[in-house]
Amino acid sequence: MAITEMQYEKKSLYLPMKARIKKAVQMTELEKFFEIELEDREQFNYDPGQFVMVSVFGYGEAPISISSNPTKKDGFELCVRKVGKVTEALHRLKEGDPVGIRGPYGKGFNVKELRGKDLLFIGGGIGLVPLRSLIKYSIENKKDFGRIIILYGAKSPKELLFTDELKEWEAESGVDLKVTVDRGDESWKGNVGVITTLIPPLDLDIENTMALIVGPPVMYKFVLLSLFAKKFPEENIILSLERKMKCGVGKCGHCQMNHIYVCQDGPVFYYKDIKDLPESLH
Amino acid sequence: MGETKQKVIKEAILPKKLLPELFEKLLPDYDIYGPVQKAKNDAYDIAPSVDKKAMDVRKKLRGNEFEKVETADILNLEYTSTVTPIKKFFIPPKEDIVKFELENLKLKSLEDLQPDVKPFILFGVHACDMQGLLRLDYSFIKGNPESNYLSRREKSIIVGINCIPDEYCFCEAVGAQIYDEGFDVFLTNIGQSFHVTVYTEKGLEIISKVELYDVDDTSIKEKEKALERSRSLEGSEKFKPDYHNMPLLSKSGDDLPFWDRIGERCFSCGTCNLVCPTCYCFDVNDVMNINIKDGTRRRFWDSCQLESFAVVAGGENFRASRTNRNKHRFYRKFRYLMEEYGKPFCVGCGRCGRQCVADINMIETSNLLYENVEKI
Repeated sequence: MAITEMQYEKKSLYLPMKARIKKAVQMTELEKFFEIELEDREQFNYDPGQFVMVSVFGYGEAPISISSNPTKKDGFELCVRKVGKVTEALHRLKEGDPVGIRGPYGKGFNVKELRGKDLLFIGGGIGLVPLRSLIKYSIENKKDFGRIIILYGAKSPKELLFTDELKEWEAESGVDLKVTVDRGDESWKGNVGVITTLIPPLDLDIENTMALIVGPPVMYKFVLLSLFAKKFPEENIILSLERKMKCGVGKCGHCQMNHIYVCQDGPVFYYKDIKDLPESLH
Repeated sequence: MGETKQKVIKEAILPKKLLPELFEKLLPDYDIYGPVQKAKNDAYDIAPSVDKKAMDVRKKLRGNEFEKVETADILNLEYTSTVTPIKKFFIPPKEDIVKFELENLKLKSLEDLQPDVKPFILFGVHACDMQGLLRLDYSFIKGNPESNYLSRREKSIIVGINCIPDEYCFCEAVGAQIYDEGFDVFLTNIGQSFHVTVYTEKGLEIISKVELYDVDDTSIKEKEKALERSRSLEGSEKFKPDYHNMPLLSKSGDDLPFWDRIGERCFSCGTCNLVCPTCYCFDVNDVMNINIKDGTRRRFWDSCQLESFAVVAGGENFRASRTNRNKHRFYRKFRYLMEEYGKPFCVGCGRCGRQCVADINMIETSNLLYENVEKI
């Protein structure tokens, strides 16, 4: 087709929607929780595992995973680590302050394919944030899933996120929760050690369990080795990957992992689909 | 994609002396851009090279550049290549995409800065650059059609012209020396006149502003001879692999040590990306005005060869080595996008090779890949 006959929307792919911070709570020294509400749109539909591009005007835009249950329709939640220019600016914002939102973008967790399965969540550090969306969804729809097991590791007790919710999930929702920290402190009475120490003792129905892994790049390799040591089938492993992103719509090129644009085909992937890509995990 | 031959609407002869009249008649309705020889000094010949021969090539080229022209007289239609490709008319090096206004540092208003351009003519585009533009069309339409690109592209009229290849040109070797795809009009230089092939109604409208003459057997023969002289044989014959095999070759040769030898030579300057007609990756930053009240979200051409290209805020670099960044660019041209599009995203224009301060070029890299895979 000639380019002159193209039908396309004469509106920028890069124009954010106006939104407002409904709630902002400092969670740890580096992480802040935000509830966001869009100004002109009542409903915001998304899948667990998808992300949005968040704008703080004058500073820029950054890709942030959505952390809330997708059944929450009046807004959505983010938990943001202060780590760059945009996230530092975002941390300075308060309830009522405006932000820009584009999205939701990418492919999240495919909930339909997870139905009937046991779910093994493995979150390292801020990796719990995107997993929380699916954790909350699966707890709310518990009859659709088998066992729910959550392994969560942080560097220290002070860096643990959503601690009240963790207790609630364990106490009221029948979730099998195991938390560990790399280094304890005087008040810490739980597990000490890296997250992979939680894997060997697990009693899993491996054929019927889906592992959902999100963490820092270095974590994947060791978690995968621990799972494979238990003969965990690789086709049952799903993970979400972090990459630099400047557009979210498959153009700017920053998120490429070999031929794949993570913002389009990911950030959530089946391990089997990316394991042979040299640029996927290292 | 890529194989469609366009139907010829009309063939005619345009005497060169009518070009000024043609431009006069077109200028009220169109912006016209064409190749202009820019440089009268060596500074424009870009960075110095370690290789004397490459320096000489650049001096000879003397910085032709597509520029807005008000008269046909300043055009240099007998040119080898321009320093930057025509992508700049569709994705400008810097483009304000969103305007925002703040009050007490908080957002007050937001405006979509959709480009609103006058219809424009690119006059004197070579086959390689036309093929490059068709590849950009693919990338900017695919998935999420980008209005910023398309609203400029739909206003464009492309007048092609046959070229004067040098030893860096290898369009024929990558299947990009195509005269009947994408152009609205194609001109072939036959001495005192141009042989004109019209492919679109838009093309017919602009070229018919002056009196055209009928073609005859002599002019058709002249045209064929001229196109034969324009074949990029010198560079194309140096290019050893069959381009169809490039995706396969790059898979087989992914781990070969020659990639490190190329990586060691690369300075990660990003020039190859800037001058490439099919490199379109970009960065986006907010730029505040000095009043601290308003600013724009601006996109810039970016380069996958720069060390920071794939670094996330936490510091992890997903393409830390120069070898891997070099490979990435090469694979974008001859594997990843090629497997989707069916033809290489390298169109053989030779710009990256001409401008590279380390004299890394696509012909040499392709040959090294080919020869080293053969040895396996």
